[in-house]
Amino acid sequence: MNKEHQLSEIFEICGQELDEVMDKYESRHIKNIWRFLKLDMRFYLKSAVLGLGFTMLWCCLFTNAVLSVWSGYFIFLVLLSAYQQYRIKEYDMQEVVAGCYINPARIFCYQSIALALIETFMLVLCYLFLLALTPVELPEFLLKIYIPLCFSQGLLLWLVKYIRHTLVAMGTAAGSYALTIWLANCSQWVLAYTHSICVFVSFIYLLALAKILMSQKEGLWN
Amino acid sequence: MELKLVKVTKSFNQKKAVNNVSFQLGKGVHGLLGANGSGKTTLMRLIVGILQADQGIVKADGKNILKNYDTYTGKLGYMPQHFGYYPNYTVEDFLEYMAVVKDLSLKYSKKRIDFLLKKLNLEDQRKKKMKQLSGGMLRRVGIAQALLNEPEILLLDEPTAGLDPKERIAFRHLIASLAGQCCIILSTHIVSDIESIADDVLVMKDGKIILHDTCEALLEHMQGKVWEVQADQGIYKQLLRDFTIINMHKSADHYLVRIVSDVQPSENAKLLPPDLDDLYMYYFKDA
Repeated sequence: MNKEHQLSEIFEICGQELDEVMDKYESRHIKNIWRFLKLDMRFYLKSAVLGLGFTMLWCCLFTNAVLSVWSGYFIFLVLLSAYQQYRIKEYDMQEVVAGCYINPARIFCYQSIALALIETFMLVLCYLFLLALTPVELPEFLLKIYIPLCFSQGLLLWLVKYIRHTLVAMGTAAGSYALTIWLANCSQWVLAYTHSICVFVSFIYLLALAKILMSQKEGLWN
Repeated sequence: MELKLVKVTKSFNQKKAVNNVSFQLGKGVHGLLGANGSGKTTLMRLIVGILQADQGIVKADGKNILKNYDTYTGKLGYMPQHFGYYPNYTVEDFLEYMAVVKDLSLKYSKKRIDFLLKKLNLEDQRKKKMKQLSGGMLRRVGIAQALLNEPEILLLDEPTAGLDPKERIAFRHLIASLAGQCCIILSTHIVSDIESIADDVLVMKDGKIILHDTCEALLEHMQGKVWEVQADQGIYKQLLRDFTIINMHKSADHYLVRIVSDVQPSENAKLLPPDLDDLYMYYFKDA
């Protein structure tokens, strides 16, 4: 009887402890990641939406240079994303978040996924807008906007850890974008080759990401 | 929570920043005292898990911290020496951001932020941008973010740098009030920060823990080594050359000099009760 009583007391204490932990920590990680992205990327989101508004306005004003205007908007997005991924270094935040659950490596991972999703969404929006406004051919759209975007983002993802200054980060992004546009005008074969490398690197990156997520699942909280 | 370091060594370019350090700490305030460059920050970063030891293990409650790191970070509060922040965030936004990266739930973090802002007298600053805060207020925000998850291990690296005397006293009161709840390691080279609140002191020199004891026991070591000498200018200059002088008071015709020395510096020297400043100068006179 005494033993049973002790056991029930232990169960009660364990239950209370579990309730406290459940109350304290976020049990749904997606919800927490969403909260994090809303706080961390609000400057990026505000600027991207504002830029989108201006782009649409310019497209209506300069109907004969629609593709160039959109291309300019995507350069702007690339610059913003360069700043977004670099600013943790810029403001010395790495040390203070290093001992937290969402550490700099996870921040980089979540930001990269969010940036890719936002840019893809903008790209689809851009294509639909172009289709509605003027007949644009898909290959031209891919060459002038999609491939430069992939290339510059891929290069930035790889280089950002070596970069030590915001201007250099943004310069790298803009430079790689401009390089791809130039390549698009020079030779479509060179561009196709560059793009296949980008796709291959992205594939490896996704595999690495999947591995990280799997290992996180194994070692999740308690 | 019990924190244990077993023969921890960390080198940078052949130089051992932390050299074969072992100790065990429980609840209470533990001062980590050492000169600049003695390895305090490296030791703190090893305990946080930002750095991995070349040799040895850091254990929390008997488990290697790196094997169960996500669980460990949930019990850890850390305020680094160089406290970075996003300047355009308000105090409230910054604390919410830190709560999110610590994986705290929305309901819990709101409650905790309100509590900490009140406790640290930051309520009036809650809507102010971080870039508008004074050095002392920034330090308080730094402490608040470290306390967000009610840590069982709290690591404060040079927490009083840039604080005025009043803020320093308030900080000491705050730390003393937390002493019963968690294991606090307070790294500093300012003796007065730990003198009145630390349960024990670890003295670090050249990457090694050379002393680890209570303040009283450490001061016991210093008995018979602190002297006061009344000297004229000639003798004062000689004392300055030959001994470690803690402080000097000049009056009209003589100097009153406090000296730390193993031997009696002069015939008229009087023995004084030692304090932690004397201990610091005794071990770090060359630093």
